[in-house]
Amino acid sequence: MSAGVDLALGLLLLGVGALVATGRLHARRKAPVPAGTGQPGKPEKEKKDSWARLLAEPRLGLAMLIGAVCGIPGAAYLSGLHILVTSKSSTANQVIGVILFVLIEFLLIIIPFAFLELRPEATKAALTNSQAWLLSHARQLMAYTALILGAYLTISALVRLA
Amino acid sequence: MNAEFFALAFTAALNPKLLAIDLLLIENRRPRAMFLCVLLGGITVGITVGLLDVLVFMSMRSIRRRR
Repeated sequence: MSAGVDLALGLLLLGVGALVATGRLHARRKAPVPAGTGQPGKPEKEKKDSWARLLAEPRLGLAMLIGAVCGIPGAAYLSGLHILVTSKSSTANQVIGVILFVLIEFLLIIIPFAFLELRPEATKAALTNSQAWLLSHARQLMAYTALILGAYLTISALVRLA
Repeated sequence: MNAEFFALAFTAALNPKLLAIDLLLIENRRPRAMFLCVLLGGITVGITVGLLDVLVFMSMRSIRRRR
């Protein structure tokens, strides 16, 4: 990407990060349901229950399909592959690079799986706690990510332009 | 492989989808088998696509050089 695009994107991210951090940019909330429209929560709850039931059953084919969908390359993976291809390393090193990248990419599945084997109850509790923490700190996380990425892009673009 | 490569790999690892999958699988009656299947599916697709990309690019580059 050119330095100008990086600078524009960096400044935009800094602005969004600052707005989210100061609480001036809120996520849109659901409009309240008017009274007397029956039971609007019921179908939603039933839908949720059916999903939970579906995923509570040990469906190995479905699990494999979900894994395969998650394994479809994203932007970071394609950029990593581009680095590998353009590097002057040997074929063996490139193959090791691909395997390492995929293993690192799936660490969020590999680590809980390993801990599930060692300490099942503690792993369940840790996963539930981490979900609660992420949900309660989502705004701060978004703000910090935007600010850090924005600062990095702005500084690197300014260095290149200077 | 350089620092940028590993930075990209760890960025790809910070995927909220995977955390959501963890939470769904942990509630399953056979979580170990489900985790293993997700891993198998994901790693197989990831490595296959990666190897195809790297090796096809390599062969295309060597063909271009010969010309």
